[in-house]
Amino acid sequence: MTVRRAADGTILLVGPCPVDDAEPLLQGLLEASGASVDWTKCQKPHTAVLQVLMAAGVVPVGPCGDVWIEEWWRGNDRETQGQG
Amino acid sequence: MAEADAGRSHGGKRILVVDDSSLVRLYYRAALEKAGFSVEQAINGIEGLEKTLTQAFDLVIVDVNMPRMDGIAFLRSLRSQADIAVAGLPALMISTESEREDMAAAAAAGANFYLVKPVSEADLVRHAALLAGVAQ
Amino acid sequence: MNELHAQFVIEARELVRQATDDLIALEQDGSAPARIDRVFRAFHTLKGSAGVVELPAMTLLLHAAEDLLTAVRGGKVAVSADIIDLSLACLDQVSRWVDDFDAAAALPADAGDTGRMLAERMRAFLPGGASATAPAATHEAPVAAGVADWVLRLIEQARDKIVGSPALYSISYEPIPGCFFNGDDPVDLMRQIPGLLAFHIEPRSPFPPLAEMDPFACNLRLQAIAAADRADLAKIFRMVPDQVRIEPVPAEALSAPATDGKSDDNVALVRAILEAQAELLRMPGRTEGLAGCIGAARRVALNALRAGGFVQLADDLERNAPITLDSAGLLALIEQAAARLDAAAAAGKDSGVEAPDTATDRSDKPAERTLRISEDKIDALVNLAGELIVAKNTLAHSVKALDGQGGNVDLLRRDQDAIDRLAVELHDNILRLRMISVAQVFRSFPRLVRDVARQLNKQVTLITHGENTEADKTIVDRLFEPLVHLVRNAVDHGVETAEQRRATGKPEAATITIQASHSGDRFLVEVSDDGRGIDPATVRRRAAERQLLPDDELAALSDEQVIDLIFAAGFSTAETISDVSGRGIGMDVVRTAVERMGGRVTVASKVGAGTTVRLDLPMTIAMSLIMVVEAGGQAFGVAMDAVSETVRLPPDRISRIKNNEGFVLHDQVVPIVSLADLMKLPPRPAEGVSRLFIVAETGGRIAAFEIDAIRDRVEVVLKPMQGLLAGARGYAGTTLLGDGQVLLVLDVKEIMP
Repeated sequence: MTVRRAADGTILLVGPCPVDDAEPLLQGLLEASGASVDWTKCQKPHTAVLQVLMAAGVVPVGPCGDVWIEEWWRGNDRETQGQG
Repeated sequence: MAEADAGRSHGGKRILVVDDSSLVRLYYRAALEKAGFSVEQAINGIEGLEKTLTQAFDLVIVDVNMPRMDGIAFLRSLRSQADIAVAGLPALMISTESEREDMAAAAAAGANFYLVKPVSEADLVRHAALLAGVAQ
Repeated sequence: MNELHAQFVIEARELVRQATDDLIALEQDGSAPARIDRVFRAFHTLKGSAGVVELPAMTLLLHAAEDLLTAVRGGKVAVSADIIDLSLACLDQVSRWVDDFDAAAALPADAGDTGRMLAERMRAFLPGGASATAPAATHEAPVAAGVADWVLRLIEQARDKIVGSPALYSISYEPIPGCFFNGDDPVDLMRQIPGLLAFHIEPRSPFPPLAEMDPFACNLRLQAIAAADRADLAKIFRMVPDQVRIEPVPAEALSAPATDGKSDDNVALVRAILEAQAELLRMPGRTEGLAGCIGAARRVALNALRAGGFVQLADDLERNAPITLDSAGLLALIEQAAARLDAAAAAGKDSGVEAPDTATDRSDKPAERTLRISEDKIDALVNLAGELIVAKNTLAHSVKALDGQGGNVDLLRRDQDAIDRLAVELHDNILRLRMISVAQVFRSFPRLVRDVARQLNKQVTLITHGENTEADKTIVDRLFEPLVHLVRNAVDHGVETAEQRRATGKPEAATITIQASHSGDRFLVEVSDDGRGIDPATVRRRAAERQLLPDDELAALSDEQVIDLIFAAGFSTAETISDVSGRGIGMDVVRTAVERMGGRVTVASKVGAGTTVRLDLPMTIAMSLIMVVEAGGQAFGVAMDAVSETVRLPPDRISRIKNNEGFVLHDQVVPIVSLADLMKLPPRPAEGVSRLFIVAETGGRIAAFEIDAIRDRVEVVLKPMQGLLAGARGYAGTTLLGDGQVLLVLDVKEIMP
């Protein structure tokens, strides 16, 4: 389990986040709507995890621990925000 | 086209836009200048005629419906000029959908081609390029 | 190689040649608009062709060239020698690629890099320099047909990352909803894309409220642009080929302005404009403004044709339609132009209406219809015709044999005569198919002269005459190499520097003339220059230094004869070893090449006035089919037409009558002649095994020449015997074999006992 809850309610994605993490992440976001997500220590988030973030409209607190995601997802975020 | 080349600078082709709407003129001008044409404007047929008599152009783009002297009258007068370089100026007539019947009148007056509004930027440039002789 | 590829190769080579010619002419004429148009059009057509056969590296290079030429044509960039150089280099590269493509159906692996580098050099000449890779595309969405909006959007995003115009692929990946259960991680696949330039991920359908979301159902679409190898991309997505689309991004999507290209739409619009002008002219009862309407219709028709790229049609119309032409006359011409445009469009490209601009009276006579036939096919015909001639000879033999047996052969003989005549006629006609003009050889020379002159900082004008002179393709092809040497030499050694010329009162620009002509059945090619000429004293000194001849012989030579020594092996008139001709190849190479064709080379020169080298060549290479045989350990050639058959006989078939051997063949006694004996070579020692003969029949006599082996049958050019052997009987001539060996070819008629 790499989805954790910090004391301030922030959801932390730590280490590799495999497909199974999508469900606890979704649960966490449902329980505390508007909670921020910190992925500075996240590595190789699975597509399913990323999809939950997208569906929830969450812009995680970064930079993402995964360099590739940081480079490409951020641009994606900006673009999505800019369009929305 | 040697007859039109005399006295013209070596820049891009020159187009005269004759339209009473400043918005339309601006739109045409922006599109045409971006494509490398140099653009002169006139707000009606009378001013347009004055400019064609004093400056050399490669194409005139003229609206049908204008106050004082409309596009048809402008063209008729243009084609009747004594100077063949002026009288033979290529003319693109642009009109609105509702004036489709003007097409026949435009041809009768001597328009070389006819477009119905709205005209997209790309279409305008494409037609202007072929009518004024800019290679594609 | 499929037909499309083959056609591309043919067309691309032609276009490269044409563009090269026009570039050279452009440099000489200055920036004549018609020239620039032609150059541009050639590049443009080339680019289009490269696109059709999907050679992105070539497309991107030509695109850059086209942009540069567009700037030149628009007067934004002035034509300079550097731009011409670079454009020529571009054509050279394309030409090499076409060769590669022809050989391997693909461009070399480094083509992308090569193309990009050259493209960047070209773009450096554009206003704004190298960074302005896509000047027009940034402010107007490119309307490249068939390119999805998302691709254009992503390209726009990646614009900063795209250096030059690389070969790009768009990747659209729509994983199936259950993909996570298959263990797929779509983002991870995207991660593996090499050369990723842009990446986008979006929901395929709007996400439901979070509470209703199934976190394990994939509802995503992933898109990317990558500068990568298609094969690499395919490998990454090999498990999900049904869910992914990988497509090349057309170069147009990278940088094409909206008005680029002679698209079908554009042709249609040109056509529509012509039709509108025709309408304008058809309008009945016009009196007022008639001259203006005619003038405007004429101008518009010309403009549209020219702007649409149909320059030839425009030129024809302009020439045939004076400004003073009446309405009906102009109408007819415009209708005619429209019809030709239709024909061109139907033919798929405008080159169908383009004719060489040298044919000025083209409109008066119908164009000669030509077929493009590959050389292989013609050579196959030549060979067949040759075999027919041999079969014809055999038939003659059979008829004679039948006759000898008392049969009635009158009818057969009549047929045989007819076949004889037809076979010879056919052979001649087929050989004529191989006649080509020297134009295509000559057209390489403006470029060569220009490059060499520029390298040496000399001014040279090249004049060519007799481009339409025809000779056998083999001769014309082989002419190229010696001509290159001669022209190089002329520029390098013959022509003085501008300063030297000025000092001697000559015009600064030297003139080199290449001229082809016919004289009887000879084909003459001359290369002349108005340079410094060859000084016999210098040649004499050099020849003495090199000990080309014994001193007394040298002294006995006249000045004219001395000059001929420049063709001797080991002689070079170069005062300094220059890059141009100091490559260890001298005029002796020219002589060898010319003599191999059965020709002669002579030189005439006047000190201070110039030099003329004359190649005297046969118009058709009289190719003889010979059999290469071995006797007494040596190879000889025997003309095939003298050989009626070859036989191998066991010893018991051979009878000895006194000192002579012979055998019976087709009821005829055939005397045996040992070729080794005849040539005074050691005889064949082995006895008791079968023996090999070639049976020759000529002038009513028959003989069997004993040989050791048959090596080969080859088609060669026979050279008459020269020097010491010039008077020797029994030899038809000599020929050079492919390996450089001189082969003596026997004249069977003369050695027949």
